[in-house]
Amino acid sequence: MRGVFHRFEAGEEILDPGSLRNGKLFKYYNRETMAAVATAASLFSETPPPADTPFFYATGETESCKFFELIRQKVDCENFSSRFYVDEILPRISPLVQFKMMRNMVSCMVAIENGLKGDNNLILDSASALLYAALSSPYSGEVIIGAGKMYADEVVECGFAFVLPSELAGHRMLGSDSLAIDFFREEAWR
Amino acid sequence: MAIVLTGFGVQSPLGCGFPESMETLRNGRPCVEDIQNYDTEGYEIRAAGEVRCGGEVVKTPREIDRKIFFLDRALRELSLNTGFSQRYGPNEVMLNIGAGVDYFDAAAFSDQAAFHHKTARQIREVARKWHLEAGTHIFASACTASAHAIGFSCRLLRRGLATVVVSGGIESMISHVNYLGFYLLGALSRSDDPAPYKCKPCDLRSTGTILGEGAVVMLLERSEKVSDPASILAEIVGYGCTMDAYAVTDPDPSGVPAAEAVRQALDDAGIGPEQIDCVHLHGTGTSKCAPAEYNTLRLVFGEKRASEIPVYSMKGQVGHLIAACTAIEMLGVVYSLEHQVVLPTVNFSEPDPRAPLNVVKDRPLSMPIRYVLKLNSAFGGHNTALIIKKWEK
Repeated sequence: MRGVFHRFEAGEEILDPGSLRNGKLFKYYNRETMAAVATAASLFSETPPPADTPFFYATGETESCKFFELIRQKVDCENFSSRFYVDEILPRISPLVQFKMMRNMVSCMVAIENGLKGDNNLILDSASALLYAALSSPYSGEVIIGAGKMYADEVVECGFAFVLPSELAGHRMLGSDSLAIDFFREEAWR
Repeated sequence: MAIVLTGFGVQSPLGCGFPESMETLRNGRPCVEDIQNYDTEGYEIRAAGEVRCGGEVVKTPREIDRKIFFLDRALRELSLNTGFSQRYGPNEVMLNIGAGVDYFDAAAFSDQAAFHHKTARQIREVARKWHLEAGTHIFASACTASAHAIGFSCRLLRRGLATVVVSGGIESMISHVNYLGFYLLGALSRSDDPAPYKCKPCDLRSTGTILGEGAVVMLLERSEKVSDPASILAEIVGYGCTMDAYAVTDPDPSGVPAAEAVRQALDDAGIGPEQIDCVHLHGTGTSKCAPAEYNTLRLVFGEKRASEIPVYSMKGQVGHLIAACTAIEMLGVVYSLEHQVVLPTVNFSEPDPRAPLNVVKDRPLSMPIRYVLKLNSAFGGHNTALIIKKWEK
């Protein structure tokens, strides 16, 4: 197992858009996507994975959304109505916000940036699901696992690893309620 | 050892419960109308496939996350119909489910806890209530979330990593924040036809999709563990999935990665493409979906058979249940296997010349059906293929 784990503080610049192969997609990135693309790049720098390498990623439960914080400051909830939402809130929402909220965008951007086209899954929260996904993949070689978590204060943690499925057999997090990001935080190569 | 499907719990636009849902599939009644659960004054588009019981939309207070409400009710039906909680211990039953976006109560912006209903936390609570204690695994790959959940479940069962699985999908984007957010993406049907609104899969006049909602759960077991063989509805024999790594919103138009997912599923099933009898498409009604799916079939079956093999999409009837779409569409697969018919695609009338598919229309097509290929794909480029076989043992 070879892996990396990074923690990015609130406000810290995570990624230079100029370093991306597909820089035009940067507008769709949220901070977790930036962290995932940057962390994957650091793992793949020595050994770029073949395109058919399975890639399983676990994103964290959404803790906050900056967009909604902005809305909340401007909304009078006492007088809420459908018409109010359509007239007063909808015009403030960029379609890009939807992409930043879609959970699978993180793993999709990592796949696009690195040309990953193989077996895959996108998991919410669970270390157990992430490890089972890797463990049950029919692929015979190393697979890629990753996890990210953006906290309410916009701190982001992210980990990526190459693993052989057999290395995960019997892992204590299988069947547990542990968060996927904990797997990476606790591994020795942190 | 076979992985078999032995029961459903259904809360969907088709109806509440497996029998009502199958009857609605049979009669082809469109399940999309104006949103009724909440006021949509000011909406430019307001069509959706809301959950119905006996034809009436199930209404809930705005404080409730509907997908979780429906999950609870679907699990109740599944438990009653299959008796899984009597036949298996709590530590043997795993929940693997596709789930949609969090619910945001737009009228509660000022109160964070009331505003934001977190999905994973709520699902774990429901899993505990129904004693599904062998692990709760949630998949979030948008329109392929429940396909990923079902495929993942089959892999675990086959490898002996799970004893029995409740799988499926839950979704409701029919709320101010999520519905209008999806509207902003420009993917909703802008058909100006009178109600019932038209999601027109594979049709020349398709203008987009229509959102649906619901919870569909199914029990997946190893065949040797099934106490009543008559309860077996189908066998899941093959699964494959790939990524396009192509674009954010559009499928890879070549169909190459999706065809690779089908090839993986065929290998998994140990059959050749000539053994597939019909295809249940993703069929969203968006302009780029049908040509990409046609190209996928062309690569798998060859040009001639890609235009001959009967195909079907359920989304014309119920809308697009996003994270639950594969789960509800498995009802259509089971219907095909049970009744040996390919159902007509509701709202399909005029073929899209870019996708010369054999879309069944107007009335069911009777034919021998042993293997069904179920395709799905998602924003961001996930492709899944499931192969489901008529139970014959």
